[in-house]
Amino acid sequence: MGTRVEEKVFRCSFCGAEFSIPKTFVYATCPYCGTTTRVDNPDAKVDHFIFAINYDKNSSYRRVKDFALMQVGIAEDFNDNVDFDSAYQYLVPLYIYEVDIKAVCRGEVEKIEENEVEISIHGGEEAAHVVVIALENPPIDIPKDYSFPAKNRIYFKPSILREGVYLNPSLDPETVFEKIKRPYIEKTLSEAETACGKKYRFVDNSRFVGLAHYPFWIITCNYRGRKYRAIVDAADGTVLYLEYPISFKQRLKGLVGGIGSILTASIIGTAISYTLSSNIIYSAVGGALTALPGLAIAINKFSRSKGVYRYKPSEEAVFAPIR
Amino acid sequence: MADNVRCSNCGAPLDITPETIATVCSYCGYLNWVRQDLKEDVLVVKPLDGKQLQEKIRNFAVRRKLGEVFKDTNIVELTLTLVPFYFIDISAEADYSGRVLVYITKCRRTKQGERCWTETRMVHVDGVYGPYRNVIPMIARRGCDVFSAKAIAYKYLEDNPRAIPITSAELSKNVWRNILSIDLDKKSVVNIALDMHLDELREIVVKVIEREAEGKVMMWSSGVVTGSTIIWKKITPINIKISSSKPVLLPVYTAVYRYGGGLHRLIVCGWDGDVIAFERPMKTGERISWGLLGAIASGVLGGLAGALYTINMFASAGLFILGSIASFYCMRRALSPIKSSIVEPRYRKVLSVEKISSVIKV
Repeated sequence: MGTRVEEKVFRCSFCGAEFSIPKTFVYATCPYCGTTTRVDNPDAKVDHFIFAINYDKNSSYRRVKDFALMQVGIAEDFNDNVDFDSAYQYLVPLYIYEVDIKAVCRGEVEKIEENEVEISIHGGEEAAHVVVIALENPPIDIPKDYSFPAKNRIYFKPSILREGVYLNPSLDPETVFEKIKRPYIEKTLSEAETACGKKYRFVDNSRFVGLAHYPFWIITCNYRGRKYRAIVDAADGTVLYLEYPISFKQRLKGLVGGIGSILTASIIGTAISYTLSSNIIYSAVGGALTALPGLAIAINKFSRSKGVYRYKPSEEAVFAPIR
Repeated sequence: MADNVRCSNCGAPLDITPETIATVCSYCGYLNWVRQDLKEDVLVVKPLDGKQLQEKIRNFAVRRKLGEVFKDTNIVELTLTLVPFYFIDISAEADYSGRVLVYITKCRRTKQGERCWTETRMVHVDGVYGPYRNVIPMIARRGCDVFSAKAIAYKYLEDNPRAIPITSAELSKNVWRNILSIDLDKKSVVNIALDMHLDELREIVVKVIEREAEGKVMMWSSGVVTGSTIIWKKITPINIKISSSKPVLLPVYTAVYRYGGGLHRLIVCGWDGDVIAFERPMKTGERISWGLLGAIASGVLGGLAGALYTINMFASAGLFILGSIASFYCMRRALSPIKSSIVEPRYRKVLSVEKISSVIKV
């Protein structure tokens, strides 16, 4: 169900084949020869890349299994009783930009020798490499601050269209570029104005590097008749999302621990009020109430039989791989 | 990978991307410069071999009473990576001037008690700060700005191990196959390093302006300086000198051990086997301790909160909040994943900084 998207016929500028595309598409990739062109300017050169798929479905499934074994409360027999169910590859479009902005103060002199540079006076500068998802609503849940690696990028090959779910970009790259550049320009101009007032020259060498597709696997596995889903970065094996079974024994331990702590806290609270000859009820309630957040964590973790892991860069910071 | 780009030494196809500047042939170990215009010598710090490394890890494990976890039979994976770095030496001064509003609190004893009020003074400051110098390690690849890379760069600058030209290093096949290619040219790297360095310099000079203005007011006024606001400032970086090293390949090992149904990782310095970070199993006793601590803390604080409820509601509320936070934090620790990540003390400051140059000062 859903609204039917209006389509139009598009003619490939390389091989001449005709195919239908939604009217909203910014780029069209020919399903016959794999050439990618701008819909509004078919003659414009388009650099289209794909990040190398270093993890096939088998190695991604192994990653999911190994990662699940690291989660607290995982069912003890998970390794023995889990089976592969399915794997789908999604190719998510990204726009890649190089930001290179300078505000050069009047009188700035740059002397460049082999391995040395000397600059007499400097205004402002910003340099950055920015990668943005080229879709308004990606169909798979990619963390907002996920950094897509820019290595292992190769030119797009048409054979890849047959291997996965190919997602077309829906955002206009120029509009996205202007939005991305704005804070860098503002910072550069602010630095230049702080350095030399209005006496500067603005130089923008930023460029749109191109469109690149990034591969992800959605892996489903079976454990004791229930399905568990995972999302794996097919370029470097990072697990972005994982569902895993929590054992009944672990759940019971966790809940008992949580309830035990609330009772202990209550008893301690009562003991304190008894010592201070104060209102016993208030102290007992106070002790119990302050232990509630701890109980809430235990219940949240162990009331469900399915645990969920979501990739958080800050938590994975120490062991993030060198890509 | 791009077709038809072959090793100039053995003719094997090279594994390159549109950004590759230089890469080592995985068949013969020859360093190929895809961008011949950027060709220069590349240095390498020779890594330990696998056996030497395992011995270092074993010794570490024995010292930390983790011999059962990190024993050779538990190894699942041992990966060597050689990361290309440029070390950019930047020195810059800043010509600054500013107008600062400084706040002074003055107090006077009166018959009714002490009366305090705040006055302001407008101060002009100017001068030249610096030179501010730093050596900034820059990875010659994008998307590599991770903890292990930063830690290894930090260690290189501190320990200064010997780096030799790759052409005379006689690296084995196991090593040259793990060399990451150089994907960023020196000019781009210098631009990024300069941006980082000057941003730091500007932040420092802002504080210098504030301190100088407050210092001037303290010298000439009575009362206590309580703060300041910069109304106008001019900070111009001048006399910037930048020099960059040749590319240096630094080795780092990542090891994975299987123990107790789980996997435990180590990051190890590739040239001397120093453990940078590791994961160890979290013991049941530790979990119980955290749970108990949470219960005791929330019980004590909650009990006191209850006892004070009718006497002082604000104090009671404060204690209640503290008790809830203690319970929340302790239970989270008790239920954290089956192992704890330990970063060795020497590298902890690297974990908390965004830029490695903030840690290393020349």
